[in-house]
Amino acid sequence: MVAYAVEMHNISKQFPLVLANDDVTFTVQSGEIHALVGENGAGKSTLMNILYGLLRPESGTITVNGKAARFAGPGDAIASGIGMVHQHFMLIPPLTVAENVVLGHEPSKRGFVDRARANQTVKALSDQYGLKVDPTAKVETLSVGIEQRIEIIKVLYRGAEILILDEPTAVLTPQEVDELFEILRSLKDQGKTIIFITHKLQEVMAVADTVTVMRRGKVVGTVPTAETTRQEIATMMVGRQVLFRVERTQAEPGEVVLMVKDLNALDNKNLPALRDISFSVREGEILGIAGVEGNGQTELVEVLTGLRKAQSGQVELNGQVITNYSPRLVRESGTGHIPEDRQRRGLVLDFNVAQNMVLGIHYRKPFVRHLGLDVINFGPIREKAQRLLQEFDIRPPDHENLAGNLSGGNQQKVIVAREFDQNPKLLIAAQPTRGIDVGSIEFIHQRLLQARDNGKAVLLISADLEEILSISDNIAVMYEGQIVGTLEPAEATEERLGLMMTGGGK
Amino acid sequence: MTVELKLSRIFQFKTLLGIISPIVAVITAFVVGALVILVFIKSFELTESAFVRLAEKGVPAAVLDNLQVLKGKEYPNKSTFEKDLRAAIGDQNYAQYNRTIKKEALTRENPLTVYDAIFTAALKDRDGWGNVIYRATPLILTGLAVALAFQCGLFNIGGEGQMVMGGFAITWIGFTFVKLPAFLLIPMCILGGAIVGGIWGGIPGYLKARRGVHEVVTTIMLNWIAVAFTQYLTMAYKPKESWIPHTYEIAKSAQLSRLAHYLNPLGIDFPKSNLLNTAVLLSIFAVIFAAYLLRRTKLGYEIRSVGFNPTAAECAGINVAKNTVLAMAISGAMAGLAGVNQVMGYKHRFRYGVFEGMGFDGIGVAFIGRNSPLGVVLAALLFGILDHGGLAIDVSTKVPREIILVLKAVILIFVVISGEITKRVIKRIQKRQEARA
Repeated sequence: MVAYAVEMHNISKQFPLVLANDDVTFTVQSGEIHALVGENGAGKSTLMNILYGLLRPESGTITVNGKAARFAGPGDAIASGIGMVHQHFMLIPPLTVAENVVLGHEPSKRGFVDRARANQTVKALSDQYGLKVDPTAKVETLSVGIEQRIEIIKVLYRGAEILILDEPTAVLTPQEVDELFEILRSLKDQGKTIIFITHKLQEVMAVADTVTVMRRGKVVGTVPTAETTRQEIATMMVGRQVLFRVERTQAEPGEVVLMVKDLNALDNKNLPALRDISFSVREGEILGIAGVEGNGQTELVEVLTGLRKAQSGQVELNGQVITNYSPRLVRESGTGHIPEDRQRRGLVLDFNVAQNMVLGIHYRKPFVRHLGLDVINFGPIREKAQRLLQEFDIRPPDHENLAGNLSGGNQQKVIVAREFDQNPKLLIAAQPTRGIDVGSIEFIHQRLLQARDNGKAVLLISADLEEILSISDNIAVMYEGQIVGTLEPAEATEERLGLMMTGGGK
Repeated sequence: MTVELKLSRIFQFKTLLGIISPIVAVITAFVVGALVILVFIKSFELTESAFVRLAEKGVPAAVLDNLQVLKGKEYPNKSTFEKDLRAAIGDQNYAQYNRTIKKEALTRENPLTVYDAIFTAALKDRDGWGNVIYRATPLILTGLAVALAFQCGLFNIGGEGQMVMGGFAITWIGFTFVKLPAFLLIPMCILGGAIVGGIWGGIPGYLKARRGVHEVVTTIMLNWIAVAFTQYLTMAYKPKESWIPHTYEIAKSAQLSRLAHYLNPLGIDFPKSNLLNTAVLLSIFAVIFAAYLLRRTKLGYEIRSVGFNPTAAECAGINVAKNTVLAMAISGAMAGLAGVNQVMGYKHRFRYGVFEGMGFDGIGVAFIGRNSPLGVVLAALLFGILDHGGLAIDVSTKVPREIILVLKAVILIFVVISGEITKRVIKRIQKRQEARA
């Protein structure tokens, strides 16, 4: 007879646009380390937020330690012995470790916080589980790895028997990851149950007893790690039964248009995001860059378009070095850019469609007249907008409509129309079909292939393997800021790509 | 077809509610103002009718006779009334009747007569209109300053500082280059005010663009620096014989004529004492310039795109830093021009008193005008009506002029609230439409 710490049966959760959890059944045995894996948007975090009481499911039942549970909020979950360590830490830097841990549940003595007892308790917890944290140190002086341990102590302090860790290794160095695994094992030895969310398969194999794989809101399967292989998990994670392939001709690549050599760059936290990236894209070729999101693709696009400074390395466009050019100069040199976040980067939603159609080229003739002050020439802008609205079948075909009033697919078409119409030599398309309707996806894919056939170089960055496989002529896989391999579409199976994307062999 | 489309666009919820919400705010503010007047403004006066009522209530004739001394006297202060009352009727009667007497003597102001006084004074005749426009002139400029910066997503609280720096520059040029003829000196003064105000606005813009310092913090601090600095300069350029802290007078050739000077020869009757001067033309020009800049020029397009979505602007190759500095500098230049009206058109000298608070009022003007140039004009006129009409209520009612401050403050609060409510209403309507579609 197996004792279950958590049993979630037939959980469904509907968000406005997606069914985030579709009849999910998820069970965790007491005293095991259970990994929950899946691509971004597979529904892992939603499921865990339901378990922690942050979200309420539309249907389904939850049982914790054999007792039916109905959580109105995290408070109830904590009372049932569930604790969650979030990906983003919630600590107050100027306070000490102990102060942070006891915050909200301070031991008190005659109305004052009993610091001595707080320190003692934290010290005891730290020693018990081998966390090696000094309770009197100020949080602002500590490293990210230690901060994570404080979060773990915080959860233990509140009496958690079941710990949920949301992508705990995302922010850690390899050294810190090993230390974390030591801690997890020690917690397990002392009877705690651990659920940990990740998409890195080597971590699953290293530390978990059981693994549950989710894909598109559903559980694909639950298997003991001893009885499976990384290969198998990768297949479960990304494999799809039906593949939608676009009709296309053979590529006839010409001259090299984009040449990237040993590119290095930092992310927003000043950690290395790109490590010695090199690749090239030729005329009449689509290079697809596959990878789980957050492995440096965003930073790569930003460096290529001038939005982020490269630390070292070189970007060449048609033989001209354009490393660290300003975004305007990059555009002037012949790069078109479909940004990954259309609402944040691609459009000014409060401008109308016509104004958005010239965003980035608004300073060129004939859109401005030079009359001392550069005056906007509305006629040509309107004509251009009207022409593109027809050509790209954007609905409604009204150039004075605010961009914010358009549907996602039509917004994306506005960007695609704008970038294609500039006739660039290189087109960078980042997640060009994310979150839009099937009709628009097909349209954009056809346009990308058409651009390729017209001799343009296309760099496609997508987290959607299906998209990569169906239109790329060459596939590069990014993992942790590096290109871990380049494949021809013929030799690239989803299984193989999935393995490479999650840090597996070539 | 296209006409229909255009019309429907004008009456989109957003535009419609955008127009309605300030109007609702102003009306609500007047209602609240009326309540304030009703509750807090009271005085004690024994009128003829009060005596009749007191007799009906059974106050003895002897007491009423003693009260005759107080008849017709007005007491805005309760304790003085009580003191005189006690002296007139004696301690014993006071203990017995003071409540009844006070109740009958209490008079309150009718808010409608107060509002009537404000609007009559402001709008009754040309003199009233002229003064309203004269008062609105500098507010249009400081309001435009705030509105322009806001279009770039910047909150310029520094109108006050930019205004006094510009104002001092105007004065300094005016009393230094006294030998120059008017057609040179006047443009020089205006340009000087704009440039100095622009620099004072550009500093926070630069700090924001290059160092990421929030413009609200820097502009507020630069306000006090500017005020203190110009007051120091005022003393440095004070005529020796003057005991008022103001500077030398600017040259006659730098002074602007009052509008009466031009209107009277045309046969239009306009009082010579009216302060409305040619600086109003500059304000009108500034409004047109601001509207044209924002809507029709490349710079305006870039400024607005940075204001709406800086990340998209950056991605489109628009220099966010450059536009931030430029927007702040233009904003500061606008505020700096307020001195044209205050110094060249009115006082002919620099003194902080003639500027005080107008930079801050500009924030309110821009808010009520929803940061559009036309809206700023309307809001500035509203403030002008309140400021000028407020002078009249001191004379004709018992309500102190400070009620105007209450009204302005309440209007501002309600503009903010109704803006938020408007947003929610729009969202709800949109959601309902989506659900239907």
